[in-house]
Amino acid sequence: MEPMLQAFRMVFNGETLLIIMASSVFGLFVGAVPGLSATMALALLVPMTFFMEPIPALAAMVTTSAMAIFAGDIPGCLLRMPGTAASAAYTDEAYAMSRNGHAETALGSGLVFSAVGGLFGTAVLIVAAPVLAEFALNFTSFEYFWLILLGITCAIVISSDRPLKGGLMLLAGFLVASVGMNNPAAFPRFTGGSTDLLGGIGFLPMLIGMFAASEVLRSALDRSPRATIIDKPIGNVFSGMWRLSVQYPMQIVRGSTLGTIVGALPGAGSDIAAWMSYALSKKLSKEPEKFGTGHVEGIIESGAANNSALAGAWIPALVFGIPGDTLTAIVIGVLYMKNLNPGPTLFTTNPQNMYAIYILFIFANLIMIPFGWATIKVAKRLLTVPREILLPIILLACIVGTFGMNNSAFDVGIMLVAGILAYILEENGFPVAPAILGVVLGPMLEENFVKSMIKSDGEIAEFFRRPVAGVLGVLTLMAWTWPLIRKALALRRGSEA
Amino acid sequence: MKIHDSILGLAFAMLGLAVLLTVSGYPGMPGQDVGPALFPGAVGALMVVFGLALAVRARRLAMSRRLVALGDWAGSPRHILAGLSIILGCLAYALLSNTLGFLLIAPPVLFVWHLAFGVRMPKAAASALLTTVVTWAVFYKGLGVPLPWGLLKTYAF
Repeated sequence: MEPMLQAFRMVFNGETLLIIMASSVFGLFVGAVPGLSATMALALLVPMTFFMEPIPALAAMVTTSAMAIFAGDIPGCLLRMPGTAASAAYTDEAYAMSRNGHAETALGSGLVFSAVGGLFGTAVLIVAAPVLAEFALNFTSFEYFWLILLGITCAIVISSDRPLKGGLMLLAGFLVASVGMNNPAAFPRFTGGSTDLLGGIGFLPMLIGMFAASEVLRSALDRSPRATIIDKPIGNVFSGMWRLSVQYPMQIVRGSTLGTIVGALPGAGSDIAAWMSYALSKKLSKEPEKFGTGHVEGIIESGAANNSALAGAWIPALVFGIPGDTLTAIVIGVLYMKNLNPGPTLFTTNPQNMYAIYILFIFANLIMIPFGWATIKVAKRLLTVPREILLPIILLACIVGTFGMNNSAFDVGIMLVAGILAYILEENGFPVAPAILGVVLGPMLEENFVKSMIKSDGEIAEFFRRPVAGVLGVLTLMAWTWPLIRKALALRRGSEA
Repeated sequence: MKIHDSILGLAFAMLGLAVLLTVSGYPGMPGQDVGPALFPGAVGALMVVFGLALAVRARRLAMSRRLVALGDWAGSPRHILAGLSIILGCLAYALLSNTLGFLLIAPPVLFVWHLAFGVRMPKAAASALLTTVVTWAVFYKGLGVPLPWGLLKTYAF
């Protein structure tokens, strides 16, 4: 009971509450402005969290991401431009509803069922994480090695429609993580004699460069005309929500469940969860012909899915230290910075921190409703915020955040190079998320591989000897060979026909 | 800016090759089969394979014949200027902030960015000053980020 009370005190104090409120406003603003993503919001937050206590820092991250994911629905609904990737799946549907004069229903269901999905995902996190953590206490380097490999395989195969390009980005992330002396042999790698590189390439400058500076660069070079806002009045967003809950209970549960599961898969986040839920909703609907014409059913299901995925992604992040998506990859970086190293021991040695995280998730999803309502009220003004004023401000925040950590011009250089490279590669269809997964997971993968090799005396069979490691190993190998198996099966079917 | 996949694939393959060459000179760990070269070496080798696969696939698929195509921005001097100002502004801040101090370097950099993004001069000046003060208050006073004082060190508070 004492850790629980301690957790309540950690969350419900003046400083943390103030940070939660400020982060809510920040997350809602960034999510609602087209062109600024939830990932960018978190990347910009990281330098600020560096100067906070661990729980306020986590409060800022949990609240910002939850709010930004919901707020992404607003420009989708009124401009047909999803504010974040997680809203893209049902943007056309929401826009069609707005054109038909039902913007309040589209926005209201996005808001209410996002909160419901978020709470569902949190409940699963609360129940599943400690059980998994207890199980994971028996894990050795063999299990972790396979788990990381399986995770990154999922990230490339599931979350990317371009596995080859995703794979190259992951390898680039591994390579970045290899720079410096942070390796089991403590040998300086790829430093070229530079003392700045001995400690490796900073995670933070790279993160800000890839997810914030690159987006500023893209917006600065974008010549497409600004979309026009649907100028129809928005009524009471809560009107009819109870009726929709009674009408579509199965869709809410299904979206929340699928979202949590997809979120928990390493590499697949809110956006994939929303796409899968929307597709499933249409497939199982009694009125599939209405989809695309301004029908709320898909919005309810995928709106619940994208926010439940957010909590689901924290399960592998907290239990194994393996990020469920890009947002949790950033969070893991912050956890390490705050000496709250993720892993099963986090649950046994610091239970109050875990309880505080649970409380934060519940609180963030509850306050999303009044904050979201207020944001919808001022939505039209938010969507017309002049981009040419906003971009320089964001860019200054990027530089100050990067530079302020070590007062290092070198770090600003890294941010700039990472931003330019991310911009060019994304323009050419390379997904950026696997690179950040590579940076986070590269050192873990190498460490567990080297440990396992030393323990097994170089005997590869040892990697499969322990039951869980064996199962994970076989699953990983199957995931690698799956494209070949699928091709072979298709060929066989073709020849039989 | 579109670059043909065959070029990007070859660039990755060459990077992988450079990694392999670099790690070939790394020493082993005493008494162990594994050393500092193993992980980056495996990454480099996979990069060569994936990069070549991308290049070969790009040649097979009927992709555009143009090897490099600049975006729409290349036709607009204002957009080129905006892109360049981002790069030069970041560099200026990195190189001059410790000498001049945050309060002296941020306003001109912000002012130039605003102008490059198409904001009129009076509005750009007002926004640059206001943003500097707010950023300084939030980061320096609020969060304790050590923003440099530079030439204004004697007036630091």
